This record gives sequence, C-alpha cells and structure tokens, in this order.
Amino acid sequence: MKNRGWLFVIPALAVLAISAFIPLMTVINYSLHYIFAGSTPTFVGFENYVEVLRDSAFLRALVRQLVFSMGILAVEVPLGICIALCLPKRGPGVAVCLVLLGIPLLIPFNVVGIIARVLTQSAVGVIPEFFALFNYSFNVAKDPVDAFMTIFLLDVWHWTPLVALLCYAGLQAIPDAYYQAARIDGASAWKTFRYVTLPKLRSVLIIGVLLRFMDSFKIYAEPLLLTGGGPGDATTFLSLHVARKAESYNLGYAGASSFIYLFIVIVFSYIFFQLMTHIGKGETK
Amino acid sequence: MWDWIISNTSWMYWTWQSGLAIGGLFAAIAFMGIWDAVSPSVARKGFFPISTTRGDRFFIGILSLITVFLLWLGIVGSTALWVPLVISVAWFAVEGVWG
Amino acid sequence: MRKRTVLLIIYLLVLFFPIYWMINTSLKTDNEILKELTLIPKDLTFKNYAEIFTSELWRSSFMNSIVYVCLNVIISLVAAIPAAYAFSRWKFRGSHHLFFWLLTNRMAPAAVFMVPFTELYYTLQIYDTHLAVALAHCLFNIPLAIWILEGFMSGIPREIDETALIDGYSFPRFFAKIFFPLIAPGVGVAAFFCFTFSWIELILAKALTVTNAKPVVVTLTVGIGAEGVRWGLLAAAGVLTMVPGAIVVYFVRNYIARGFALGRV
Repeated sequence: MKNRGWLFVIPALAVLAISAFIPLMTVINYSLHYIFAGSTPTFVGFENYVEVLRDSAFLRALVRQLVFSMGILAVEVPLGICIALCLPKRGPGVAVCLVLLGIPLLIPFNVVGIIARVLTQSAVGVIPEFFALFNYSFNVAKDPVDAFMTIFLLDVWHWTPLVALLCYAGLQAIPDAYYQAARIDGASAWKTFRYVTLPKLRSVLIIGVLLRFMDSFKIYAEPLLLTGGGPGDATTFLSLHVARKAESYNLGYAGASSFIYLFIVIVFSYIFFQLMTHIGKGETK
Repeated sequence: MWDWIISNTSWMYWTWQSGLAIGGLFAAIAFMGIWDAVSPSVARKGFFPISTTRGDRFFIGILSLITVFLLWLGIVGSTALWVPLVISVAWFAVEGVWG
Repeated sequence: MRKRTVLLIIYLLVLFFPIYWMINTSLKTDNEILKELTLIPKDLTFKNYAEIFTSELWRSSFMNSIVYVCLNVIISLVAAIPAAYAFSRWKFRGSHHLFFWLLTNRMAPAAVFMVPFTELYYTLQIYDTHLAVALAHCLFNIPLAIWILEGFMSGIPREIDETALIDGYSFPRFFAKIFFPLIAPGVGVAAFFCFTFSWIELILAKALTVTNAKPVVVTLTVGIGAEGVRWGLLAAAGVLTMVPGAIVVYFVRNYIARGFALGRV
C-alpha cells in the first residue's frame, strides 16, 4: 500500500525523463563512441576516458576546481556562522537584515561577472585603483593569481549570505532554555558556542556545505565573463573546460569528461547526503 | 514504428554495445527492485560507518566499480581491463556480504 | 552586543558596495566611466535606462525571460507538489534512492547537458522556444522544489491527514481544503527559489535559444568581449535584472531563512 507513493512521483519523473534522463543516457553514449559529424558512430570502449584522464588540461582544471571548492567551503562556512551570530535575534531589524542578505543571491551569475568586470577594469576600476595605493599593479587580464582571487572573492561575496541565512534559521530553532542552562553552568562564550550552538547547527550546516559544494563545482558564468577562463587557464574551471569541448563538438571527449565530472560530484554529494540524513535523524526527531 | 524510433533517436548515437551497458544497468535496478519485493531487505550495520540496506550496498558497489575503472584507465590505460574488473567484482562481493 | 552590530554593519556595507557600484555606473555617461573614478556620478544621467526601455531587443529579452521563468515555475510546482507529498508521507520501495537520484539532478552541471539538450529539443521541434528553456531548467528546479516542499510538509503532523480522511474528506478535497493552505508558505518559498534559479541561469538559456526566445541574461553577455563595451548600458540592464528578484524576496521575507534551510529547521 505504501508503494502508491510511486503514483505521486510520476509527474516529476515524466518531466525529468525529458530534462534529465534522456540527456544523461546520451552523454554516456557520447563518451563510449568516436563520433564524427554525420557519420555512423564507432564504438571505441573506454578510449575517450583514457584520453580525458591523461589530458593535463582536464586534470589541471579538476585540481583547480577542487582547490576552489574546498577553499570556498573553508571560507564561506565559518564566515557565514559569524554573520549569523551577529544578526539580531528579534525586533524590526530582523526582516530588514534578512532581505538585505537575500538580495545578492538573486543577482544573475553573469551580472555578477559584469560587476566584477566593472570593478576590475584595468584603467579606472575601483580595485586596481585601490591596489595602486600600495604600489601593486592589479590586473586580472595578466596575473593568474589576481584573476583566481577575484573569482574566489566574488563567489564569497555572492554566496556567503546563503550560509548566513541557513545558520540564522538554525540558530532561531535553538530554544533559549539551552543558553540559560549553559549560563547557569557558568560556561564561557566559546564553550557555549562549541557545545550548545554548533551541534544544533550541524544539520543546517550540512545542507549549506552540500549546496555550496554543488554550486561552486558548477561555476561557469563568472570566469567566462571576467577573463574567459584566462589568463592562460588560471580560471578555467571544469564547467568551462567541458563546455568549451562541447561547443567545438568534440563529443567523445565532452561526454567522457562530463561523465567523470558528474561522477565526482555524485560521490562527494553521496557522502554529504548520508551525513545529512543520518545526522538529521539523530538531531531533529 | 521501429523506423520512426530509429530516425528520431539517431542523435543519441546508440550502438548495441552502449545499449547493452545501459540496458544492463536498468536490468540490475529492476532486479534489485523485484528482489526487494520478494524478500524485503532490512537495514543492518556492517563494516560501513552507516547501516545499509541491500540497495545501499548495491549503489556503493556501483560507485566503487566506476572509481576503480576510472583510476585504472587514468593510471594504466585501456589495457588488461580484466584486472579492475576482478578487483571490483571481488570488492562488490565483500561489501555485499559483510558491508 | 554593540560589537556585533558594528561588525554586521561593516559586513552589510561590504556586501552592498558592488551593488552600489553597479547602480552608480549605470547612472554615469560612458565618457565618465572610461575617464575617471568617481564615487557618485558627476553628471547624472538616465540615458542608459531610457535606451533599454526604448530598445526592442532589450524589451523582448526581458519579456522572454519572464515568460520562460513563469512557465518553469508552474511546471516545477505542478510536478513537485505530489512528489514531495509522497516523500514526506511514505517510505515506499526505493524512495531513499529515488530521492538521492533527484538530488543528483540538482547537482548536475549544466555544461554536461548542453549538447544533448540541443539535440533533443531539435528532435522535439521546440528548439528556440520558451518551453525548451523552461523544460531544461526543470533539471535543477524540480529536485530543488521537491527538496524544499518535502521539508515543509514533514513539519506538518501526519495526524492531520488521518483525521481528515476519517472525517470523510476525499483525498483531493483534503489536499485542496486542508493541506494546501498549511503548506502555502512552503509553496511560496519553493516558487521563489525556482524563479530565482531559472532567472539567473545562463548556460542552458544560452545554448537553447537563438532569436525567438533569447533571454535577457544572454543579451547581457553579447556586448562583452566586443570592442568598446558599453559599461553604462550593461550596468543598467544588470540593475534591472535584479528588480524582479528583489520584489519577490520582499513577499517571502518572513519565510526566506526557513526556505534556505529547505524547510528543515
């Protein structure tokens, strides 16, 4: 009787069949064949995978992507918690702060890219002018580190509010009684945070980590607009690399690298998802 | 009917080999579903840090199979593919029984 | 307490500086943007906005975006509400794995699906229509909507369903009369998120449209890279793309924090 649940899922599955399932099968097919426009496909087994896995451009994009995503998590999560702790708990300021924090999240990715371009224009942008005060010539078009850091800080700017909002929602759910008990026990501010607040935040933090990991792994529009993945390949992240191959209709390569890309995301997310559901059970019910 | 299907799916580049691979995966999922209907699996705690049902272990097995193959293809190349196959089948059996 | 407020204000200032800068740029003349660095426009002009409102290209791009985004929100919600109900109420065979599979679609990088989508929608003869983009965006919006709604629905006690059914409500009547009003905030939040993510998505919108359904995010990127980029114009268009989101966020402000936590707090 419980299995009537499947009936309710059918509409979603029907739409996803078109928008997820068939494309995914096609990607797998691409990856297993040698495809030349118009001709019949030749089955080549795992040749495309070997090509991708031994392509240093792909491997560098992958490492860069992992460094980027891990860095994002390492910066955004602690920062988000700090901001959430600073937000007012009640009163008229709450709605204002929440709306203000929400606004950056609604800016289209490419508008973020445009903002970055405007801010870092070599002649009259604010950031180069600012660095010029310290006699440092900041140039995203020439210096790989500058370009990478710009994308990084841009993402921190754009998405830390998400983590902050999540943590704020988590903080609101902690009953005051916990803090009172901690105060009676004479716990220090740090100990209260470590043993009362943080464990209660764990389930929202995992959602935050999951969302930020998934989305930072997909980063595309910002580097594309800032420098087109350059200088050199300093900001060529995985999406950019794969999209470039797909746009040049190198379908075997694009398919194989897409599959590997997707697979890495799935493995990481499976781990986070297991943590989320199993911890969620212990914490909330 | 058949011609219509063929002509409208040509962009997906099916060959019998890839059909076999994807069809095999579907068959395995269907088999797991039927098996679970005939004798429902109970979650249990093995050497994995989480308690798993049969389906979970199957999924972890598939993930590790792909991982082993990708590592092999990246490090050794597409020669002697039976080695990763043996490794992953053995692992599949181990985690399926004791995982 | 004081220290926290000061930190918060500093953070908000940093947060809004880039947005302020874009508004600032959009109100300057092209000459001023390229010549010098000014914190407030010396020579205030609304020419950039006027150009957007009178240009057929920009007007139709904004309309295209709004049409496919709304279409996507409707499709996503219609598909997601029953599915979320099933996930929140029953643990059916394979539900755990199905839920994870849905989640993987939320993670799937759009670059991966670019070419198959193009081919598929050519075959279905809906390439370069609003429907194509709306369907493609379901890839990440349906899982997200299910995720959020499931969180909200799980917060509603199962006893309510049971009592209503015992009281002789038929299932559709129960759903429309009792259950739906209870989860209305959740539906609002889910709609808001679908709206946002569809509105800001670039890769698929770019790959699936040529002229008829070209959305504003694509129009925005076209000017980039060419010589003599019209920064003022782009900044003005960028400011305008933020407006719909800002309006929607105002309506869901009381639920936004909970929504970001996927209703799971």
